[in-house]
Order: sequence, then C-alpha cells, then structure tokens
Amino acid sequence: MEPGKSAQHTAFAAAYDEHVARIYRYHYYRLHNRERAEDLTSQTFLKAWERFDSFDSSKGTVSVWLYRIARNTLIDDVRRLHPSEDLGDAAERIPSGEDVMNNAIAREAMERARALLERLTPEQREVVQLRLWDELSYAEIAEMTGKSESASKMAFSRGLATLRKQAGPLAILLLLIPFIHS
Amino acid sequence: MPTPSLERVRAVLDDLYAIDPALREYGTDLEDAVRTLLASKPDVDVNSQFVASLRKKLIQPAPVRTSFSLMPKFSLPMMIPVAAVGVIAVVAAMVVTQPGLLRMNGGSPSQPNTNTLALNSLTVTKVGANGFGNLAHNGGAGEDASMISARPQSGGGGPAYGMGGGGTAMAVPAPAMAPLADGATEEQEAEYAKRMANTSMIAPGEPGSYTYERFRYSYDGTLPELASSVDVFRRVKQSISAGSLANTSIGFMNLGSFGNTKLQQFTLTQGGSYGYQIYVDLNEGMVNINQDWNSWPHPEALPCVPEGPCGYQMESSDVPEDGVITGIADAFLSEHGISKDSYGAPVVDRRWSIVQPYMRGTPGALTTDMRVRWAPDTMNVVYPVQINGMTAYDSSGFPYGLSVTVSIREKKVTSVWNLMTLQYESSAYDALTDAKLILDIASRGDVYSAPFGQDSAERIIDRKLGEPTIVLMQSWHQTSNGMGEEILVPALRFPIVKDGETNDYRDAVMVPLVKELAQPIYTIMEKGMGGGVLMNQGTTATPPPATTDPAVVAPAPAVMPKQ
Repeated sequence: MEPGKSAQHTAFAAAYDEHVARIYRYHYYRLHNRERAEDLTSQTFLKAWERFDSFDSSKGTVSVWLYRIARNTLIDDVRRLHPSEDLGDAAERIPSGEDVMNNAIAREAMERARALLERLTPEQREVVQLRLWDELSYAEIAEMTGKSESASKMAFSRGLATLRKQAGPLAILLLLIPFIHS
Repeated sequence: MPTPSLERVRAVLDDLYAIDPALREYGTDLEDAVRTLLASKPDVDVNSQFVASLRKKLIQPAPVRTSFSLMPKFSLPMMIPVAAVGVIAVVAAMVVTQPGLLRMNGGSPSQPNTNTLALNSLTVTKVGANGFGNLAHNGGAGEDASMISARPQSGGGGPAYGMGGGGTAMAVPAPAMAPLADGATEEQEAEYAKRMANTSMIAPGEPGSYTYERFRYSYDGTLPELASSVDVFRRVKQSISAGSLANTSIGFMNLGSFGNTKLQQFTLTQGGSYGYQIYVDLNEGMVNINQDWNSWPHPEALPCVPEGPCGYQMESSDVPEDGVITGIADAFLSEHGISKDSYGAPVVDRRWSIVQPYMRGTPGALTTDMRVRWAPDTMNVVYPVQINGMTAYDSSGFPYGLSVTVSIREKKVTSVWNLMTLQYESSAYDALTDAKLILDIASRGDVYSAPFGQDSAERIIDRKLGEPTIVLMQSWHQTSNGMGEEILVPALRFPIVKDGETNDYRDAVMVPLVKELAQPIYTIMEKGMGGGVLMNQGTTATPPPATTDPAVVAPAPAVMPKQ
C-alpha cells in the first residue's frame, strides 16, 4: 500500500473508532431495533470507506460527514421497507412502540415520545432529535441539514415551545428518557 | 457524585434553560425524574462484538495492545521495535513451553505441516445440573432472549418493523424494488418513488398503506424423540501460558522492572507479499489470522465508473465450485498445522446468491448501477464444531465453527476465524418437550416474533418445514457479572423447504430445546407486565398463539416417547 493509502487507512480507523457508537445510536434511536441499527451502521461505514477518498476536511468535519451518510442510509432503508412513508420523513423518523420488541419500559417511553414528536413539524422534529438524541451542536446540525445555524436554533426553540405549550414542561424530559445511557 | 449520564442530561437541561429560562423552575422535578428513570434505561450500548467485527471487516484488527499497554507514553515509532522485540522473546518462550500450540516455523509452504494446533482437540467435562446458572437470566424479562444471537445476517432473523419478523428473513420488498443507488439523480428518485407507488405492496384502495412479507412455517411430520433433559455446553476459555516478559530487556529499558507482567495478546506479521497477521489471544485461547492489509493488492481501491461497472468487481461466473473453495481452505489449514479433527465437513456459505437477484438491476427496473451486480470477492467456508455427534449451527441454521475466508480473485485464504481451544463443560438442563410450543416457535421462525395476525400490514407467506434433526445451536449467555459467554444448546433444526425463487435468507428454523430459552418473548413480556404489556398501540397483550394461529400449532404431532 502506498504511503498515502496507509495514512488514509489510519485516518479512517480513527474516525471509525471515534464515531461507531454514535452512528449506531443514531440508527438505533430512530429504529429501536438492535439488528437493523447494526446493519445500517455497517452500511454507513462501508459507504464511508468507499468514499473516504472524496472526503475533504476543509469542507466539514468527518463527524458531520458520517452523520450525513448515516442519514441517507436511513432514508434509503426506510424507503425500501416502508415505501408508503413520505420520502422526506425518514430522517426524522420516530420509532413506534412496535419497534421496541424487547423492552417494555422503553416501549412505553417511546410511545410517549412519539406522541410528543408528532406535534412538531418535520423540520422541528429532526432538529430536536439531532440535538437531544444525537447531541449534535447547532453548528453540526446546520452543516448536516443544510440549514443555517440560527435557523436550526430557531427550529429547536420553536419545537420546544410547541411541546411546552401543548404538553407541559415535563414533556421535554420525556423526549430524553428513552435515550439516556451511561 | 452524579453519574456521567446524569451529567450529560444536566448539560442538555442547561441547554434547554438557555433557550427557555422558565424551565428552570421545574429543574428539581426534571432531575428527580431522570434519577428514577435512569434505572430503566434501555440498552443502547453498541455491542462490542459487532464493533470489533465491523472494524475487522473495514479495517483490520486493532493494533497490538499488550506490549503497547506497558508503555503508554511512548510514541508509535518507538513502540514498534519494542513490540517486535517483546513478541519475538515471547514467541520463543511459547515454542519452548507450548511446542504444540501453533507451528510458526518449520514446514515449507509447499509441504504440509504435521505439527497441529494441539489445543483445538475437543474435550468435554461434565458438571452438575444447571451448572451455568439461569440461561435466560440477563437482568430483566424483556432482555432475556436478546442475548441469543438471533440474527443470521443483514436483514434476517431479527424483529423487523412492527410485529417482529423472525420469519421475515430477507426484508427485501420485491425483486423489482432494488434500492435506490446512492447519488441517484432527481429524475431517478422521482422514478423510484413512482415505482414504489405502483408496486403491489401498496394495498389496493389504501393509498399510503404498505405491507411487508412475513414467513409462516408449518411442519406436519413427527418430531424426533425428545428427552426430559438436555446437555448444554459452555466453552471454557483455556488460557494459554506463554511465559512472562519479566526478564526481557529491550535495549533501552528493562520490562522486568514492572514485575508480575503477563502476556495476554500479541500479533505476528508475516513479511513479503500476500502476508498474514496472526493475532493470538492467550486469555481467550483463540487465534485469528488475517491477510496483512499492506502486503495484499487492493483492486477495490480503483474508482468505479458512475452508472457503469467497476473493473474489479467479481461476477457470479467467477465463483468456483464448492470443491475448489474448500480445497483452498483445506490446504491452508494443513499447511499451517491447524487440525480439523474436531470439526465436521466444510460448508461453503453461498447465501449471498439468495440476496443477489434482489440487488441486481432487473430489466426495466430503475437501478442501472452496475455496482450492485456483484458477486462477493470472498467466500466463507465453515467447519462446524461437532460434540457428541451433534453438529453446531448458528441461530439462523447455518453451520457454526472454524471459519475460513477464501479470496475468489486471488485463490488464497484471506482469514481464519474462530480457531480456538475446544474445551467445553456440559451441564444438564430441563428440556422443552411441549410439541405444541415447539411448533408454535417454529411457525414464527424464532422466539422473538409476535403471533401472526396482529398487524394488518403483514403479508403472510407460507413455507413448509422438513423433518427436524437435533443439533447444537450457538448462543450467548450473560453471566451474573455481566460477561457474555458462548454456549451451545441442543436445538431442533427444521430445514425450510424452498420451492422456487425465494428471498428467505435462512435455510432452517432453529428451536432451542432448553426450556428456559424457549419461551416466546411476548409471553415473557406478558408475565413481566402482569399481562398488560402493550403489543400494539392501544391494545393489550395478545392471546397465546394456540388461539391466534390454530391452523399452524394444532393438532400437535405425536412425540415419540422416550425409550
């Protein structure tokens, strides 16, 4: 392997080690299915490796780049399995309680979270999910979704305001509950 | 001292307060709720085995840690010679102390090596009944069976959307619905959406609705004789002694100064072209061999032509017959002194050929991307573990054991996995003998899936099962201290009768014969929640399968009495 390839290989390995758990959670939070989350995580990194040549760090972080690939992978997968879903809805997909097959408590929490998120617009929903579930910064959300940072903040703020008005302040916590992990 | 999770939640709460200061007045409530709910957090930790496996697939094994861990502050250029010296010293020690472990030298490449990996000969030690603890105990009813590796491969076996899908096997909607290629144009996306809308998956008269395929298996023959107890096998991690580094000097420091050190893992890298890395885990009693990334050609690094074929891509016709592939694997094992004595006849994994028609661009279909017309670069050969005349399979029904990957392009072995010591303990457990329950589980494909008829979106495809045989099923058991350990449990393996084209990825349905592992998940949930667990939005738990799907589970076939 030529030196450039070797360096690239090392860089990709580092990116993998740093992000694999986060990318897995990104998929898991939206599917609540361990096997499918693993499958989509695999697909995400396989695609990333295939395209690592084209990654330009001057145009964005590897983190956001990976999340973008994860997002597209998720959209493709949801389109494939649920062709009736709006094509734009996959990225802000809310797992239903039915997706949670093996954890009754998580299932109940997920149903509550789902009911809350359904009150938001798709744009607000995706931003709220990326911020609360994936813990992305507004700058990262902006880069990932193609919106401005201020627009992302605005969408988040309006989303929370909607939830607070309609469901009370504890509703916001409910969005966090299914995804708290140590 | 707050847990890290709580700190993270607090950080998010602070973020919320910054946007909406009025939330602060509810801060105590929020934090109290968090504390309470932390105890019921769902498992969202990524599986370390999955991470390691994917890393291996993408990258190669992680760097050697043993020698490195002794000197964490050293820079990489210094660590490499240090590691090399350490490994050389230790391998020398191993050759002295364990001459039969793994032949590193001797035996030319063209000359079969007769000095075999002595520790991979099978031994079984019997221990008392229920000696491995509660096999279903993993801390909570809902998590019990999650430790059983239910997923045969991508898209198969595990619960799918909605109401499970052990029987959904390949979650491919229809042959013509090849996935939209990455980087598709807007026109392609529009066409794709149109095709989706036109597909028969959309129920007539129900715009926007969908169906998914789910297999329902039935067996109308006789079950084999089932004993009231069965032996479960647990692999004993046989630590391999490799001496110590205590007296090793590496020129600029004395490793012995650390005292009481023990070598746990090491990696050897073979020089020259087509070299290998040999990873030895002395604690686990396991050896993995992989192609050395740096010394093998990488045609896949060539760029693909958009919308055209990739020059390096293999076609179906490039894949040789099974005998050729197993011959390459056999020769490699023989050359490197790896005994096959404790394994059954090799099986070539050709399951990719089930997937392939559904990935290929069919005439008239949208996908013209030739990249999806693939055949794999490598083929996997499995030499199944055999204990007491029973062959081991994974939970998808595919043979489980020593795995050898052969490069079709290079006609060489690229990796060997699961080469491990075969020391097992066996312990008797109560067996599942309830024919009705066995057939109920079999009908749904596994213990995870919900009964049929709960989801109007499911489209049931009936499949017949052939006569079952008693085999061993590889599974994972979580010990009381949270560690995972591999077990082999007796199971009924029902071959799936496949007539005509099918996207059912599995060859067989597996039903574990250990009573405590054979409880359908939904019945465990019912118990755990006092019968009130939600199975669907707004509905309560379903009745037992005998009433939901009597056609499959009744009448129960005769079970031959134990002699």
